[in-house]
Amino acid sequence: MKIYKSKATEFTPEIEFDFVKHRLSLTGVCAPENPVNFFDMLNGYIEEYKKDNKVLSIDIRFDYFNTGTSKCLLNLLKDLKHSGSQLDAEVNWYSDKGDDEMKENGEIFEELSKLKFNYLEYEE
Amino acid sequence: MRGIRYISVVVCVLLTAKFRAQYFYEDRILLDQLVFTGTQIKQDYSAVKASGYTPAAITNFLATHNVTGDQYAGADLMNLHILSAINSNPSLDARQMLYHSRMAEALLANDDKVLAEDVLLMKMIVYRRLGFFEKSNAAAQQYIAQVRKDPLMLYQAYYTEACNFEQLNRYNEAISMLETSMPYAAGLSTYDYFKCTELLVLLAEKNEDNALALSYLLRQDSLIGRLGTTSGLYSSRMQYRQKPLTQADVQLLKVLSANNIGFMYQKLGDNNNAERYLLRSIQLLDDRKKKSALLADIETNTGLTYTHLKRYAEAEKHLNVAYGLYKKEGNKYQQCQILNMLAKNSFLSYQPAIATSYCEESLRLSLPVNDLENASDSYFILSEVCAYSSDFNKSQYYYKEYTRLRNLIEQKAIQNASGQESSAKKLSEMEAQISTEIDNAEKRRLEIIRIKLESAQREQELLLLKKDNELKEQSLINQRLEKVQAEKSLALIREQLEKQQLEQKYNASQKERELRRVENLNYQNQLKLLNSQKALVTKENVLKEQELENNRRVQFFLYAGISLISLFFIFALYAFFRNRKQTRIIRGNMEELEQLSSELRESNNRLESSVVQLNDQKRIIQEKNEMIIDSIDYSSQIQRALFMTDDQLSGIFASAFIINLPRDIVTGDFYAVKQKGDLTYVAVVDCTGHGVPGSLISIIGYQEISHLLDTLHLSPSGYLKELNKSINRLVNNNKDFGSDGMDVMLLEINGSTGLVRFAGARNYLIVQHGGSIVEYRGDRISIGERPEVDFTDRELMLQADDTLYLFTDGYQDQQNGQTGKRIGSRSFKEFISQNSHRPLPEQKQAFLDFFHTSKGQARQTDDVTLLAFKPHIKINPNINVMSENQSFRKLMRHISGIEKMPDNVVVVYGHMSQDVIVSTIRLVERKLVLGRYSKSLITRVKILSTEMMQNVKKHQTLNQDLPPYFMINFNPEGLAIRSGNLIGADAAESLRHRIDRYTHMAPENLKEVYLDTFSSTSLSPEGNAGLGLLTIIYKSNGHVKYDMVQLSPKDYHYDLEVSLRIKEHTLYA
Repeated sequence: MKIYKSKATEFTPEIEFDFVKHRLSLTGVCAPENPVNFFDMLNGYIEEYKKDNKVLSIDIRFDYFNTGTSKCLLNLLKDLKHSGSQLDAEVNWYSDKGDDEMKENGEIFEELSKLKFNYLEYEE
Repeated sequence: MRGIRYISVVVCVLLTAKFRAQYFYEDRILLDQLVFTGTQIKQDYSAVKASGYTPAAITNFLATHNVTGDQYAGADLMNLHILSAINSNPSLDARQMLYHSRMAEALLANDDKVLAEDVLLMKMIVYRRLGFFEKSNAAAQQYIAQVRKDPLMLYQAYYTEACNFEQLNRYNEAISMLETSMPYAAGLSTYDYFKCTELLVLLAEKNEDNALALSYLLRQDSLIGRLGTTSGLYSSRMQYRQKPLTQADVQLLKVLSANNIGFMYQKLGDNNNAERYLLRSIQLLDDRKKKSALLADIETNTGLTYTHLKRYAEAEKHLNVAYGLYKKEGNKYQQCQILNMLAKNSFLSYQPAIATSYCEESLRLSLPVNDLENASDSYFILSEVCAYSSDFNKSQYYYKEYTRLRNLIEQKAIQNASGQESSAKKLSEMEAQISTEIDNAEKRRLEIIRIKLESAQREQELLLLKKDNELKEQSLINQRLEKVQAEKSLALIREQLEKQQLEQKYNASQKERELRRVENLNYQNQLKLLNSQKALVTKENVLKEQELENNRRVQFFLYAGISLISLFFIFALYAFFRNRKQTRIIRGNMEELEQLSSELRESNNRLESSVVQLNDQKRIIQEKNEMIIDSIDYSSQIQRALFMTDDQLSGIFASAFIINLPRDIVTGDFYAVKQKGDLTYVAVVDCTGHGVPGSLISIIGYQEISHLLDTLHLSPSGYLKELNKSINRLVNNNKDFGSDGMDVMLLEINGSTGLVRFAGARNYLIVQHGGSIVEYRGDRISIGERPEVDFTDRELMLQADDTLYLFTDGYQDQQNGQTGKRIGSRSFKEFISQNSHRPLPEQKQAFLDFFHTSKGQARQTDDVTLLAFKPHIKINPNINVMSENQSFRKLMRHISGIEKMPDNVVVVYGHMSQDVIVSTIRLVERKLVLGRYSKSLITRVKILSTEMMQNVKKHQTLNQDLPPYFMINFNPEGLAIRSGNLIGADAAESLRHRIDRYTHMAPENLKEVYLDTFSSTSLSPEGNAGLGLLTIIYKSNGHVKYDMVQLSPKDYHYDLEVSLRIKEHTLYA
């Protein structure tokens, strides 16, 4: 039905929200100074998505991110968890092979959000 | 036979104007156009003009300004040629004319239109006069095409063309030309109009269009009828001297006009009108009283008219008048003509005899001059008369004569024609010749000029070349001279240099000698020292032996004494018992006793003497001891010579004191201060043992450390490692028992950056920073303990007012005389803390007092060394410090120091922006990837850097004096990420609290707090000062240092340094 695509900027990642494939992917640097706006927009998409869909997988492939992003992302993930009845979401957390730091960041998100996380690696 | 003739009005008019111009009208136009440029020639020409272009004037002018030669050029020369051409007589000097005209043409510059007109005019005129009518017409047409719309000019051209056409017998074209020019003529002047119409009449007549001729004649007549006596005839432009026409002049014109018209009517066959007009003219003539040259013509015409009118008697009368006039003129031709007319008249009036006589008279005039025309006419009339007289023979004879003469005339005409033709051919050949000649001449002339110019140029060039050569030669000579000079001066300089070198060598050798001398001295001193040391050692040995001896002796004597005393008692007892049993023996023994007592006395004496000996020896020993002590004292002096004094130390540091209390005169502690450029090395060393042995080691150690500091460039830990090796080699090689070594604290102070690197072997360092004191510990192993040891370098940053305390354990280990309690490290530190604010000299006294008070009566436990100093720190002049704030200055010093260090990953100064942050992270990433750091570390660095930079960006102000900064550099453990920015006072406080709290937390607690803060949903509008700081501290495992420097009541400067230890890059330990 719909695809939302948004190009990456210096501090925000590329967004590709494919309603048909039930996939939301965020790729790149995520360190906006005011992350609220960015994540608000994402939340808006998700709300819209929730109306007609039940399943969602989120691909997160961050180069690096700031703590503002951490907070907002965690909130987003928590909200997804809380709406577990309406939407079954899981996260595919990508990290560069050998980058334990990024992987462990993902683990923190997993621990705090209680969503299902899959850890995938890419070679760069 | 000639009929009534047309009489030219033009000539008449010219005559009436009393002007006999040799030159035609057209000439004057051209002559007026000529403009000379030369002053003299111009003047002369205007004189010519003023004279009215008289032939004499022009000839004179041309004689003065010769056209040949090189005087004139350009337009002037051309004009001269034009003038010459016009002035030449075509029949006499055709060649001249042609030549001049060709020259003029050749001299014409291509682009001069004005002068081109002149040339065209000239050509028009010249060709016409030479008979080249077609060429003349060509020129005229060109002229008409080019000339400005000047009516006079145009009219001239048209008129000339018409004349040319007439000459070429192309009457129709001529007439059309004239008719084209009529309006111009009418506009110009009466004279021009007359000219025009007259020529038209002639042309018309020639064209056999008598009616047209008549019409023009009638026009003329009406114009003449309108002529008044006040008007002038000529165009004012022509500037003729004009007299107004007289009545007689006008009358004459009328006569002429009537005559001409009558003439034309007759031709047209209108005899009546012819008669009318002719009679009219006679009538008008009769009114005239004056005689004029034209009269003859008029009279002739009148006579002829009467003849026509058959009024023969009147005809005869007028003809005779005409004859008379012609006779006066001497015009034989006309006389003959008139005679012939008279003859005809007479014949017609039936007077053949008179007719014959007239003819005969005419023949009498014509035959001698070969006037074939008139003669033939005469013969014809005679033949007619004879025929009428029926004298047919004579008539035939005369007719034959007439025919003969007629033939001759025709022949002549043919001859003339051909002659004319040939002459025309000749002329054109001549022209061609002249053209080529002129061209050649011109070319030659130009060639000559060119050659002249060229040769002039070449001469110039040659001259220049010559000059050039001369100059070159001159410069060559100069160069040679210079070279010689230079060589000379070089030689001089070389000499001087050599001299200098010799001097230097001499000086150097002198210095060397000096040095060697000094070295020798030194060496000798050292030798002396060693010798004295050796002496000391031997003395010591001797002393030891003696001591031992003494001890033995004392012991011996003690034992001897005791045994003697016991023996004595035994003897006494024995004697007593002996006395009881054998009193007899007593007496006997009394003797023995006496003997014994005397023996005893003897031994007593011996004892005494040995005691005396002993005393002597004791004295000797004391003396020796004193000597020894003196020598030890001396040694201590020597030792002290190695150690710097307070004053000397204060010369190196801002202020300093040293407390050096040896336990036994000579000390086993030593301290050393060495300066190497910006670096100052300070060492405080505690060698094992004290007293003499300790001092020996201390001296060895001192020498060794000095040597290492002088010759090697190592870090403090490096030096300690080397020291360990050499001490082991030197001291512990031949040891039967134990190992000797030392406890060291070695500092490397960088005066310009304020950075202190240190390494410690057991010793530690106390630094007073502001109000607090900090203990810095080294490694727990001594020098000399093990053969190979690695020490650790540590760092600290000095602040301006810091005091450093280096010491051995002697001070703290001092026992109290009464309590036996040690001073201990805690009270030592307390003491430092309490007194560190005081000036150093005071502190020294305080420390000494404290020590002595604590010691009391007890003996000094160990060697005491305490070195305290405030180092000099250079302030980096490049830092523009806003405030006088010391701590801030120190901060800036540190920053600049780090900046200079080559181990920077990145340094960012100034306004932080999105772009800066992004590009910095990229740069850092690239560098770390190149440095082969782990991916985890790199990601962590990126996260921390973003966090810190974004924080800086949030807080940065526009304060230009204090730009924010961010830098990453390598440090021994790994990486240090550092940021600095301004913050407000309240933020500073809370930040300080939080950092202190977090950094002092245990890791598990920190993690808990981190996760808690992370998951709490509150999101402060500024972002996450809460989570941000926690993240930084958590992700660096608490290795965070910060600095808050107050710059003003409201502003603090916040400097944050985060260390990432490479070994700890694996997370969440």
